[in-house]
Amino acid sequence: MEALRQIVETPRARASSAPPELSRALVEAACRREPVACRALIRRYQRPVASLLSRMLGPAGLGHLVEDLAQDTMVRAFGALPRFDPEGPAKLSTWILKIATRLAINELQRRRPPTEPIVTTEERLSGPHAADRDHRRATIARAIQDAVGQLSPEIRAAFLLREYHGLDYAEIARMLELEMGTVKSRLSRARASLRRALGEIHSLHPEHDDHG
Amino acid sequence: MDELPPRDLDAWEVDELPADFEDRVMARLETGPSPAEPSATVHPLPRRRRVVPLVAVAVAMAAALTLVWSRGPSPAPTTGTIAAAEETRVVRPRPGVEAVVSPGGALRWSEQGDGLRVEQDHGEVRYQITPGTAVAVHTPAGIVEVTGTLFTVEVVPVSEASQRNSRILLSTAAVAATVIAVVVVHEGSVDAHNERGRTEVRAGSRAVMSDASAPHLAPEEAPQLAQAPTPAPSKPRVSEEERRRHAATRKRIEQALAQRAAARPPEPSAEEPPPEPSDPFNGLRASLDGNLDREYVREAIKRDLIPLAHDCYGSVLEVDPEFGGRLVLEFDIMGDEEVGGIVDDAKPGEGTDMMHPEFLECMSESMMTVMFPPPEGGGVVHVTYPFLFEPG
Repeated sequence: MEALRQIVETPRARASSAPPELSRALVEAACRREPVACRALIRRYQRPVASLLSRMLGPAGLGHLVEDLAQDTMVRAFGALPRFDPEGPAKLSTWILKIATRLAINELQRRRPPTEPIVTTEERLSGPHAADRDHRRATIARAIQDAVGQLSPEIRAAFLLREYHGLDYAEIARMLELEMGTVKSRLSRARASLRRALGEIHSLHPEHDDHG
Repeated sequence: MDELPPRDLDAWEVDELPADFEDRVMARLETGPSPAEPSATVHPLPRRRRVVPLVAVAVAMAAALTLVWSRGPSPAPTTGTIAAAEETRVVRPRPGVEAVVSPGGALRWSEQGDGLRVEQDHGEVRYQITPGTAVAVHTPAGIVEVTGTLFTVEVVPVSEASQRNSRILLSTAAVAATVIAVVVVHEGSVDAHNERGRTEVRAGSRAVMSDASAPHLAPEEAPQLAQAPTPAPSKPRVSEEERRRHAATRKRIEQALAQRAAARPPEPSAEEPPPEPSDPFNGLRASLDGNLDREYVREAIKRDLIPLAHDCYGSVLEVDPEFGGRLVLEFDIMGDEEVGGIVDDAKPGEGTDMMHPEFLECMSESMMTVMFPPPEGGGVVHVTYPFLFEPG
């Protein structure tokens, strides 16, 4: 009958599922500045751009610059879009995040660290377990922010791109023009440090059974 | 390397951009030249205009007799007609609805209740719908109903389809079909239906239907021409009862994963895999992410899927003995250690060139029946698994 073969090679780490990339047709339309396509591109990528910039700049007290840099990212992306190759090694999302990362790193390196950012906890009226949960969650958030804030701009970017945007080490190393070994070792140390901090929080604030 | 608990990472929430962010960026694009991003790593994009029969959504804007792009709401005629556009035209039948009609496109529209009824007889039209706007596009092959999305509908007579080098068009049409509609969704989702069936089409997917066949999802276009319409392989592999059971299990797994997320221990260290060796099949490779033993996956596929794959392939070979090529199956294995594991969302992936809808559906449904253990610690594992089919 027929011959059926399977080809299996070494697996490769993949990012968790994310919304699909913009289609090639829409990218081409955006290159021609068709408004519908341009808006589709902005809508698709504005959230990951904003989340990366917020976490890059927030710990340094530069959260007020997020929107400006997000706009700059998009405008630069449109300017360079004709040079983006859909058949190339980078996805469009990765390519756009690279622009945002560069802008954020430039900004962090240009400015001196300002005053400590103020982190507030949302007030909620609820049962004791829920209130503990809110406090615990806010404490965790602060711990992560503080730990990320200790990282250099490049390693901060690497951490966020890996943990929040699912890029693999090779993509991050290419984007930041770092050695992959450097990326891995620095991230490993950052994670270890953060894990210790989170471990303390978890032991101080054990989570109750959560059904609401 | 040790990973951090996702739930902890998610505790660090960030604010959304303002609602008018999109408008602000558009205003900057319209008012001045944009600063070019210096780059030494991207490849130049070819400047040729590539005609893609099914996904040609990028066409030049022309300001014929209809409205051009404007920022404010435009007066909306309640009825209108474009008999056969000579050049690309943009129409806004009502606020919140924009249609870009390619040359040759023909459509009529009218208000119907709270929504808009569009009748598209021929050609390609790209629709942009504001969320909350009810629009139904009626074609001779079926209806596309949507609220809030971006999609393209192309209506092609079968006589015209035979002149195109399009396997999807020809393999889709049943013997009695006279017209085919292809729907490509870029944002949101649409419901495509006719009297023979209904299918949801989500962003990044396409569906085809004709006046003699039900709508179904179709993979990317391939250059080869189908030899002849082929019959569907026997009955669906997954019965309604199995579908209900699958859905119920899926829900239980999702609930269990949500509860486990907080108590999940740190994931074990995992070394970065070595670079892939060279592949004699032009880059085809299986990939797996997450905590699931690769060998086990391979063995489960050999044991449970291969016999079914033989059936799927054999059904097509009975009609088309030369049929063959590559199929890259992408699927998720989701599970919880106390509930079990299921295959979720199996579909043909990039690299697939076996453009036969019934065969692909048979393979996807067969994949859904394969049993796997849940990933270690629970969760979702995404698998990319290539196959090569060669007629003997």
